[in-house]
Amino acid sequence: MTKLNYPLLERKWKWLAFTMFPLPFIILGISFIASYSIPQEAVSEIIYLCWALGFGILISLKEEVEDEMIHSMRLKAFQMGVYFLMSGTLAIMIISSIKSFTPFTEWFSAYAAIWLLHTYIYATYSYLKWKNSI
Amino acid sequence: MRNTMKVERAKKNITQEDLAKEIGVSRQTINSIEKNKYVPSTVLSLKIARFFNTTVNDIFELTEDDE
Repeated sequence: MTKLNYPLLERKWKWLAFTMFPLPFIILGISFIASYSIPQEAVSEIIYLCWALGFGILISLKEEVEDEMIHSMRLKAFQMGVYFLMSGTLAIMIISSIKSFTPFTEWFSAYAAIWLLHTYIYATYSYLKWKNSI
Repeated sequence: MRNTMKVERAKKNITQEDLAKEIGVSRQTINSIEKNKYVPSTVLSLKIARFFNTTVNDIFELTEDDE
């Protein structure tokens, strides 16, 4: 099988991931102090984007030992992440179709989709690592 | 699939950590293989067998679940 290398980040970047989670609240706090009003729809986008980046960094960090079991778990986590996102999107489209006769929703943006995908991948990856460590 | 890795390791009197270092994987991977939670690749199976001076067939065995 042809090898494709998924680029991974060094573990020293872990701090950056954890900085991303409180960052939207810091931005909102600063904008409030500076009396700069951020549009309502942009607030949720800032949160989704920062958290998507945070989880994106976490799932891209190298493990202390990068062996075949970790590669297999990461692959499974990405597959499950895509599966959960597709299922969730389908569910939202069905609910929206029933409620407002259209499959489209305003709040489900690209940033929200990326945040959900990264969260699902991180949750599955963490679960697999925990399950294999007990 | 079941395996006799734990027995082989006991015969050599080495820890999971030692074995992991010798074959270039994490201790968690050795633990998962011993508990039959993870089935190693052919390459890793051959490395394990070579470390214990035996064959893959002597360490790994198919069970009814694999049929």
